Order: sequence, then structure tokens, then C-alpha cells
Amino acid sequence: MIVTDDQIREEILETIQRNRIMLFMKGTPDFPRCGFSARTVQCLDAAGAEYAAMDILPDPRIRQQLSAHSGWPTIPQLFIDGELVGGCDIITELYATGELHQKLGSPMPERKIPTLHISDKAAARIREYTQRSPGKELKLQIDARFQSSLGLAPRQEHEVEVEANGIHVLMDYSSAERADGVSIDLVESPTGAAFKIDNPNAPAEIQQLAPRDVKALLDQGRTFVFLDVRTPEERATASIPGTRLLDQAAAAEVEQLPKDTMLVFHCHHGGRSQAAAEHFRGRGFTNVNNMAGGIDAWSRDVDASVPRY
Amino acid sequence: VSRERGEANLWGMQLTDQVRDLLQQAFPGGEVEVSSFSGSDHLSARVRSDRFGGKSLIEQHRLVYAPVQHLIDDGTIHALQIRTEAT
Repeated sequence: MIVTDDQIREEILETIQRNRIMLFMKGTPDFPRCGFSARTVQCLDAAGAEYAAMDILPDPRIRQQLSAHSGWPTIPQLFIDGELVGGCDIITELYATGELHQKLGSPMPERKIPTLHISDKAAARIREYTQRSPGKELKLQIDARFQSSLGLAPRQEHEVEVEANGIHVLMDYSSAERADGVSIDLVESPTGAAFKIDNPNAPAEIQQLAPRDVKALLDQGRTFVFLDVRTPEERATASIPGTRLLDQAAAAEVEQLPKDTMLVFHCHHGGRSQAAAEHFRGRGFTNVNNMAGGIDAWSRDVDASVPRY
Repeated sequence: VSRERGEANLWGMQLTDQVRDLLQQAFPGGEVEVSSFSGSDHLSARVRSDRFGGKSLIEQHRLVYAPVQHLIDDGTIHALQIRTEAT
């Protein structure tokens, strides 16, 4: 059946009208195909939203028609009551301040007050900074990848305030959720003293494995789940023996595995597989690996019989 | 299509500069920071400007998209992370 641009446009408009909370994304909520869509889904899920979602990937015209309608160039796009609310950055920011809950009609989140530890040395240094910057407060930010930063900025609404070792620290809601048990110290480094932030909640980093390392693990008979994040068409062109296509069924099965199962992801060059690895790390998996350089590097370094494309 | 690493970096630096120039023109007197992350075509922009005063987040982000829209439409920029602050 041939679908016209007008039909696609109508379907988009209709689905925005029919669903009070409507998300256009790459992939599905269970299996996002892009890091920005994944983060948006995490915010909506965490805010307890009941929402409908449409995958824009199956037909490039969905995105064209959607962007023509909304005047918004990127994906994801969230609509509430027929109005565009924003993309990933805006949703993340609204979630952090609690405004997303208000817009969704979810009960306001309970502000968990995290416990922080600040060493005497770090506290003394922070005091020097804050005394030099009147009107500004110490902010601790911890992003979705658990990268932490300290900064000075004016106080804002909806912030969580914690006192540790005589220092007042302000955090947005998302950072506060990730901050319990964080310790801040001052350590000497070759370039001068620097703050060191330890976060016991941070999941293990994603390890980058060279194709040769993956081959060595296979030869040693190590068991791990080796997942191919590419499209079925790419897989038909070239594939690595022992891998499994990460389609929705496979993603659902992987979700059910013990969280310490070793996962290795690959794609063509390593970018899409990194996004998939981050998704599963975000779901609590602790041994998550990305094959650096993808199947292209595998053909080059391990097995030249796998065609390059 | 694979691109050599050296070329990608050079190209990415130019793109970062290009976007910074466009935003600085659009926000005279504002503060503009542009950097790239996870690959040269993923950009992050931080803009502080008095043009944002009294505008909702989505209106603020639309103001940032407008001057670089053509680079997003033709795929030169794959992703643009935006952080705005009104002064």
C-alpha cells in the first residue's frame, strides 16, 4: 500500500489530538534507538507518566511531516494537550525542577534529602570561593551519566538544599536523586588542587573493547551476550558469528537477565552500540561493553572475510 | 561512509566555530559557548542573553535553533544540546 505525505501528516495530527501525552521518538520506550530519546523516556517514566509513543524511524517522511507541523527540528518531541513541550534538553530540565510532574498531572515528587560528605580541606576551599562571590551558592550537578560538577550560581526555585560540614549545597531534583552518599574531597594534582567527587551510586563505566580483545574472550570460551545493534539489512550484508540482532524481542529478553551478565554491543563503527550500551547501563547492568570501531574494525583487525561496507 | 579521524576533528572544529559565529550574531551582547561531544557533529550550546527574558523554555530554544536551522536540516549537525539562561 502506498502511503501519501498527506496521510502521514493526518496520522500525526490525529495521534497528537487523541493522546494527551504523546512522544515522538527514535525507537520505542522499551528500546530507544538514540540516547536523547532514551533520556526523555527515563524522565517520563520516572515522573510516572502514562504516554503514547510513535517511532519516527520506519519512514523518513514521519520526521519531515512532524517537524513541518511543530517547527521543531530535532527528535524526540513531546506533546502535552496538543502543544509541543520540547525535546530532550527541555524535558530533562523540566524534570529536574519538578515542572514536568506539574504538566503531566503527576503528584509532585517527594524531595529525598541526600547525605553528603565534605572533607575539611574541601570545605575550607569552598568557603574561600563562596566568600569571594556574594549572591552565589555552591551547586552540585550530577548528570544522567553520573558525571559530577561543582559550580557557583545564584539560587533557583525548586532546589534541594543540603548541609554538610558547615557548607550549604544546592542541587536540582535529578542531581539530588543521584547524590546520596557522595563525598567531596580536595586532592593535589600536577596542575594544582582539585575537587574530587566520589559517587557510590554511579554504575560501572562502559568498557571499550578492541575487536581483538573480544575475539580473545570468544577464543577463551568466556560466556557473554554479544549483541548487534545494526539494522537487519546491514546484518544481511555482513555479520559476526555468535552475535544476535538486538531487535525488540532480544532487548526484552536481555532486560530479564541478571544485572551482572556481561553484555557486548557492536554496530558499524561504534556509535549506535555506545548508545545501546548506555541504555542498558542506565537499566542497572554492571558489566556493559562496547566494541570500539564496530564491525568495520572487526573486518580490519580480526576477520577479513567479513565484508566491509 | 567512514571519515578519517584527523579529517573529522578538523571538520568538527570548523563546525563548532561556524555555529558559535552564527549564535553570536543572533545574540549580540550575549554569552555563547559551543563545544562538541561524542563525535564532531554532536554539538552543545550554552547561551546567556537578555533576549530570553520573559520567554518560556521552548521559545528560548526556538530562538537558538533559528540561526542554525539550515545546518540541522541538511544533516551537518546531528544533535544540538541547548542550555539557555536569561540575563
